[in-house]
Amino acid sequence: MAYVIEARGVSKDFGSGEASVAALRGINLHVTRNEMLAIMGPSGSGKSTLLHVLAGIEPPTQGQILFEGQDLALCTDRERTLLRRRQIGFIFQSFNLLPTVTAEENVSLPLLLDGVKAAEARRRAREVLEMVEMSHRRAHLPGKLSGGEQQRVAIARALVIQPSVLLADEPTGSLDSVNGQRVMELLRRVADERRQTILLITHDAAVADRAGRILHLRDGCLEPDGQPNAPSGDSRHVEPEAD
Amino acid sequence: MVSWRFLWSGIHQRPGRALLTLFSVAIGVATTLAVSVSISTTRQAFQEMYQTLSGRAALEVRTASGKDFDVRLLATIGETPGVKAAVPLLQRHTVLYFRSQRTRLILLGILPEKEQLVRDYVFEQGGAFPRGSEVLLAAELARSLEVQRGDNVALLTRSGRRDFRVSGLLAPKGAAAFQGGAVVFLPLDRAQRSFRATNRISTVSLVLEEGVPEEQVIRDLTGRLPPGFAVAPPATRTELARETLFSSEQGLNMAAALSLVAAAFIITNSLFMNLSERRRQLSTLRTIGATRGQVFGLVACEGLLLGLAGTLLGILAGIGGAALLTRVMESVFQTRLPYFLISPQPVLKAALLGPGLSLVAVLLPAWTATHVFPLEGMRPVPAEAAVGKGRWVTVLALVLMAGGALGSLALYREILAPSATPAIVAAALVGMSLLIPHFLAAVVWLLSRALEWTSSATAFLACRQILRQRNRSSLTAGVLFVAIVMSVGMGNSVLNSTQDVQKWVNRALIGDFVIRGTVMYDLTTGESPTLPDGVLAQVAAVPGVLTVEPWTFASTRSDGQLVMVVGRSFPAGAPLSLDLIQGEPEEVRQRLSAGEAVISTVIARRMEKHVGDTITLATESGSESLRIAGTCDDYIMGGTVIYVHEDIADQRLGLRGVNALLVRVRAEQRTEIAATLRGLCQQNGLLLHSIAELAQTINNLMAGVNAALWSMLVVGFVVAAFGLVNTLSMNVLEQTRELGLLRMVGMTRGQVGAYVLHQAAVIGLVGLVPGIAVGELVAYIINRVSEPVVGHPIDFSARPEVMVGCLVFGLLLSIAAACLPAARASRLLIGEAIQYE
Repeated sequence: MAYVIEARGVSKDFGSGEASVAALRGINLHVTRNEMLAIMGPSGSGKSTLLHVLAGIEPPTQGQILFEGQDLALCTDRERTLLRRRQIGFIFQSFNLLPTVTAEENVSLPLLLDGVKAAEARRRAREVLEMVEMSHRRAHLPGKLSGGEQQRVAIARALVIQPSVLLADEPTGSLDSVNGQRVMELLRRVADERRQTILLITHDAAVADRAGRILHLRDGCLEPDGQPNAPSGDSRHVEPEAD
Repeated sequence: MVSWRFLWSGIHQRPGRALLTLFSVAIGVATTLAVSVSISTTRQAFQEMYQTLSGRAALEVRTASGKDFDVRLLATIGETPGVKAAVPLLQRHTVLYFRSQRTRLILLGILPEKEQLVRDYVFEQGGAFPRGSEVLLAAELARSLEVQRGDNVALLTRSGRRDFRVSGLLAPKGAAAFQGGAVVFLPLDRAQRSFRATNRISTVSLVLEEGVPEEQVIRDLTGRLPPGFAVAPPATRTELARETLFSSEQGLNMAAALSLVAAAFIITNSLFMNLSERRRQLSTLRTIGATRGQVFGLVACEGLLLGLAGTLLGILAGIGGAALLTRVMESVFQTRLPYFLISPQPVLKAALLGPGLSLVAVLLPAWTATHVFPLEGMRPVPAEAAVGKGRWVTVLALVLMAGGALGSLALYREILAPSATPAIVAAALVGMSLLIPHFLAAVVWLLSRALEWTSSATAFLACRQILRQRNRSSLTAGVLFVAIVMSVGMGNSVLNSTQDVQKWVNRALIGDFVIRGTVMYDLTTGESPTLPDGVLAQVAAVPGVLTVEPWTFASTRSDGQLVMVVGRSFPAGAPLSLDLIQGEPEEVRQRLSAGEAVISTVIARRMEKHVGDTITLATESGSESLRIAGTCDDYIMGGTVIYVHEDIADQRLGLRGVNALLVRVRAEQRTEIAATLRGLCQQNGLLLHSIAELAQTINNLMAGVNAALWSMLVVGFVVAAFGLVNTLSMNVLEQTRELGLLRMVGMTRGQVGAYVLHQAAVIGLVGLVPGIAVGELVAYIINRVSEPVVGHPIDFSARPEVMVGCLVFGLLLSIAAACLPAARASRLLIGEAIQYE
């Protein structure tokens, strides 16, 4: 079974004692290679927390996260960092481009951090920018780009490392409907043409519909497709699709 | 009430930044106060020495030349109408020996029956004035030497070491407080015999009848006395000390000025950072109705509050610093000084300086804050736009630099007094620092190109961050710039001056050994103990000794200017031992023997004298005019020296006794002769130094002040480091979200730390590298403006060791300053950071 990411009984609590808040409860989740999976949920359901836990940014309070079969809890901080640098592409709702560097330099950044020579990094960045149709704006600072353009640059940055998985946190959340559609079309194209594994979280059903599979998150629990909420504390399994 | 809470919350929100700013002000105030107090303590101590000695005397009679005179004039003086008592005193420099210790003292020969009319003597032990071979000592001095009443001590006299019994110890009051207690009293007749000064006295102190005007007595007495006498209120006689103190004072004042400039930059930078952080709060205040004036007041008050707190702390630290610096002065001037004397003036100056400095530093940030419009403040705006273009800042910078250049010229031309040097240099440096934003981009671009080969993302990002916060980076680099300019400038200048002194020693002290009574002459009179009469013959008789040249020192006046006359024999066949500037050695030697004089370049410049002119010297029998045979560079007594032949010194100027011997020996017998001379000196209680040791002694004396100077320059760097910590911490805070992102895309903790360290290194290089070039220019300017003071131009040479040393130190300090912000940045939690606003 080619699971890129697997979560087993993952819970995440914030705070302690009486002030403790359970953001995730007993999550069981598989992300299969080459699939585009959407996780939907209302505001406060724990979507971003789930994404952070899957990316290895937040450690789970309970449970296990396996990335390409590797238990993240057994990795050092450096190993997790390298994982993010080389295998996980992250797309943020608010783009999060560095304002002081150009679009091309933003895209080159993960490569430069990995010690790739500047010229080679530039070449690869231009290739990806070409793919997201942002070559003509590569020398511009993010402040000079529209929201949609910035998000496309952000997608290019995530793709330049040829990641095992793209994690997208509300990729259209800060965009108008037209730009949002364009971004989703891009992601769909990336998923189809490059057979890129994508996990995106959203509260927008129209966005989620673009995915091959949809899961629902409510109050920190994953619901099976089309099933009503499970009793709190129970883990839910979602049957993985066969390769 | 709301605004005070807002003000306090601003300080409380960033306690680290507030503390660093406060410490910067404290350091600036402390260095200024420490320098002021230590210099004024030294000056006042010299002044009070003679005030203590003069006691209740309204007037004093002495010769214009400062030499002794005949005691038989005492009767004439005492019979003058209005004079109630005329009390004579013989004053000599001597050395006291007790067990293995030797101490330089002033010896006072007194008439016990008359002394108490003028001066107070408070006995701690014993109660009678000394008779015969008895002496009185100050109790404090006795305790320090472990001398008890009844012990025998030896004193260096013209007849050699002579034993005296300590008959009493005096409390540190009245006459015993003279020279900080480094004084010994013995009967006048005994002093006259011991120092071959039969019927001679140094001064007569006059106590007047009540109601008698001083001017009347002065008039009457001047008419009765022969020419060459002065009747006046007791003089301070500190002119010579002031000359020598001057150059130390200049250097220390310059270092203190540097600390103040650095503190001002840091206050400005801190307030700009606060402004950047709290733009939204300020714009909210404007939205709800705060006026521009209120916003101005809020920001200004914050700066003033930090300035006041820093001033208080600085005054406390400055008092401690003053105690330390006064000890340094003590070792430099080889004299006892009080712990320190705090007069209101330096404290008031410091108390006004701190807040004043803060007030100047807050003006621009406070003005900028008033231009935050209500809604505009709600939007994220690049920080540079918030500060504005600052064209007038550029104008100010150019004006300050022009002022510095003109001021330097005025100093060189002696239009301005040398005491203006620190202010002129500070103004020029501030001007140059304000221009840094204009070349920041170019320098950072060069550095980023230089770093490109490393393919270092962190270096490349660091350069971008620095340009993003141009004003903040410039102000921070500016402090480093000022620190290194002063360090390189003054360090280079000090080394060049030291080299010049060494060159003078090599040219002017050509011989093998020097024999004398004390290491250093007295800075108020220029005098030193006279050697026992037979020593010259004893030394000359040592086999292998080629020449023995006696040196006699005495201070006198020439057209009102205090000068040091040195009588020497200039033996034929021996080097002239003068650092001649004008005149050929052999011709000068002949003309000296014929009764002419060689004057120092300092005197030549000040009195506008040339070879062939005459110079007039005050003597006890009037004045003597000598033709000038040549000029020479010299460092004795601030360079105010006139050399004459010993016969002229004796016969025409009344200089008697020998203060030092310059000895030349056969090279192959040097070691044995040294041993013989050492034994001879020990027997007579004298000091023997080789010329190399003498040069080292001179270096050691200079080293005390140089060490204090370097310490203060290092303090300037420390203040700059504070600024750097502030700036980098702010950069990390502002970039919290971006740092979270960078961690998300794969930047390791180490790379985050390196990113911050790179910023420190680049800011450091922006400030340090041009600072080295400007520092060399400052060193050159200091050398040139020193010419009026030292009388000759000091050879300028660039000092690579100073440049490299300061650069390396500055860079290391910059990187050290980045450690805490770097550690904080690398420890940021990714999840929190990417949600930070």
